[in-house]
Amino acid sequence: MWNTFKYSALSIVRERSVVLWVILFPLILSTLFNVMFKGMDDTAFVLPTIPVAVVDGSEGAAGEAFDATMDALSDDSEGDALLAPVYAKTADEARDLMKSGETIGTITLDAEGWPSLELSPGTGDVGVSMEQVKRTVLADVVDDFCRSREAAEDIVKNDPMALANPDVVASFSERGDYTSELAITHSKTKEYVRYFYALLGFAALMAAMVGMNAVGSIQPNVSPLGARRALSGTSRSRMLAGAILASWLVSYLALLLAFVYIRFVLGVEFGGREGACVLGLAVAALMSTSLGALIGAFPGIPLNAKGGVLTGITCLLSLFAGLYGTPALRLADQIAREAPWAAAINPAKQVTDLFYSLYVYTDLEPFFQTIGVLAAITVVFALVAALLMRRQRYASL
Amino acid sequence: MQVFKAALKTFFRHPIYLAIYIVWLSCMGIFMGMSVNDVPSEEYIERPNVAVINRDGGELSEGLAAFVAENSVPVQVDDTERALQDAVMQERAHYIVIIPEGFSADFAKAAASGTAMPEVQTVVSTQSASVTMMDNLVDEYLNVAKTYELALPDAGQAQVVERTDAAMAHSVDVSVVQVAEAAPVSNGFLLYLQFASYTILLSIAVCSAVVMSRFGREETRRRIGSSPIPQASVNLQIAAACFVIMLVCWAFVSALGLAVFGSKLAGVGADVIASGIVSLFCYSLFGLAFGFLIGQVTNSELLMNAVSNILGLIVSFLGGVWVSLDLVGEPVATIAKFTPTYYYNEALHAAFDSMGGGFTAEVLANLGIVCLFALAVFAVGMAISRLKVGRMVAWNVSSTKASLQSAA
Repeated sequence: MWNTFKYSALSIVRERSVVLWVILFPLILSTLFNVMFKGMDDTAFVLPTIPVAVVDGSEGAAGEAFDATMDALSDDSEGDALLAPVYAKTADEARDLMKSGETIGTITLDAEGWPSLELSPGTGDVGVSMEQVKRTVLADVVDDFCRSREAAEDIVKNDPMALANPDVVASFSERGDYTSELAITHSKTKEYVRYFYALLGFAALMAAMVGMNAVGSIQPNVSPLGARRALSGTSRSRMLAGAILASWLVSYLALLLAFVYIRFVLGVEFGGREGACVLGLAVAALMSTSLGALIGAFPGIPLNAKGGVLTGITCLLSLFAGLYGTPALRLADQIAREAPWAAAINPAKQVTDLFYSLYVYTDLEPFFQTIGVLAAITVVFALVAALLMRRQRYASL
Repeated sequence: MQVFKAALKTFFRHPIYLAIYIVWLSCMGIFMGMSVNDVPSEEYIERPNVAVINRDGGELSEGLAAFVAENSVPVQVDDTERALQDAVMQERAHYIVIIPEGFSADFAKAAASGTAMPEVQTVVSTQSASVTMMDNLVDEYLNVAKTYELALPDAGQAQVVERTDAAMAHSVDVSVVQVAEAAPVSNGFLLYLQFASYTILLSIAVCSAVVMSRFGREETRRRIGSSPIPQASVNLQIAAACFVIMLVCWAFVSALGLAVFGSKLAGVGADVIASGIVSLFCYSLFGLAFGFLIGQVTNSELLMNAVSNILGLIVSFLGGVWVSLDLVGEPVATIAKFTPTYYYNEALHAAFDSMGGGFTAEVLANLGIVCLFALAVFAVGMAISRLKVGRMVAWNVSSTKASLQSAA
């Protein structure tokens, strides 16, 4: 068995497709992700100045309060102006500005100085676009103005006595901060880490290629090598045990390499629980080996085609684990919420959750639950694979 | 026509590539397209899912909780650490407001005495613009409440909350200016077409590269070389076959998109839809050129797959298919401008622009750049192909010489 193990391991790592897809591809993909999502994390909350047209139709001093608010919001002395107002004389002029794309909306003041807002319609984009954010902020800013003005006018009208208190007048323009963020999760959630977790889920499924090749090369009806090996003196179960052990080891090492690269070279957080991650990867590798064995044991399909089948399965399952950018992540979350069983039988999602649960939960129970689910998936794959492999009748005379 | 037929036969003899790259990836595009909110041209970011955990029960807390619920998508979360973590993990609640015990009373007291105001606690699952927006709304509400607390020191909190609510009910009239007469294009279809840049690039590149590599094998080349068909004709026929492959891929992806999203495109101008499909066609040309290049560089199917997959991912990311490009950093956005996908996406956005899309000058300019990319990549492929032919001629000459010498 030692020999089978040794030569299985050797033949696996000499297979170019394994080196490429199982070892190199996750490294390349994670490097790419690093460029993609790290930048996103830095810039997501630097809100650019919003260009807006203002048509002032107010009479007398009615627009003063709004002007003061505009001045405050467009004060760029510290480089943090929220709005960049362009004053237009007529609504048509403002609309032209909007059409040409110079502004994203128009604030029109009526005679009494109350604003109304016209927005340019948005074009769709992947996930949330900056345009949408700008429109929302613009509407919120104007809303905020209306509300405080409403409150102030209400007090002036109904409780003029209160204006004697300077604190009341000061509070009209005061903007206090009443929220403080509480950390209830194990680590502060940054969305981009989830793509890396999904990437590990993808890598775990891709690693099934190892088990698939190893098992396929034992099956007499799958590869010529398998046919030759079937004639040797070593019993099939011993060959199988050696091959499976070797595949597990190689896929585990490949996943560990990807993990170490992501964690220590790219500096992606895993909630400071690297030890648990290493354990989780061992289970993930077990799952991938048994998935590989299952695909490898399927009779009647040549090994090349099986590689294709595996790639297809991996891509699809990874989609539902949130690998492909923001829309995919939302889709994965939605499925996990509305059809938890669909997420539970998706090994890519489970491997992804393995790391995310370490990142989110303070206790380790959810992590071990996920390990349990993965172990169950492994057992199911292994059982079906065993059924396929055992008592097969090969081409007989 | 023999070579042409043989080339097409090669293509259809690889059903696994057809299935995975064209059908499978298109289906993924469909999934992605169907997953987005299909409200045409959503102006605002979505209101987040918000849970309020009210540990206080005072009047102000109730008022705040009601206001937050009204301005978000309210969800229920239990008040335990585990439930809160679950909500974050499953992205069930993007934002959780925890109103601490005694908040209402403390608020009134602090406002009256001028001491530091109490705070509500928030839990944020993922930092995002919509979360910041909720933060601002909570601040707004409490700002106005503070004004009323100060102005009505003797009125009791019920009245403070009532009048705060009345003021907060005010919101600005917002209208969206529809400049174009036609209905806007469904977001799902746009996303599908954006994703199709990945599908198309991979499927055309891999399928045409497989065909070309089959003909590029040393043995096949020699066999064809000794046949009475001129090399130029052979090349032309292979090129024609690859072009047909490209047409098949493009037509399939377009037809599938129209079939699935067609019902959501009612009222959209035919020219707008056509401009999207034509954009995809131009991008397909790039895919073809890319496949041609790969077919010249290597004959190994494994390498072709890997190179197409990896470059396909990179190029489609840089084109803004995975995440909106204005959310990634400046350097990445600059690099993106060196990829055809960027211009393809620009063309799509311009084509589907609700301010009047279709075949506008902007669309055509962007598509022109995509075609230039195709041409440039094709030229590189041609150069490599010339080099290879040159090598083979040299090899033929030297082997002929060698055989002549040995004969002598």
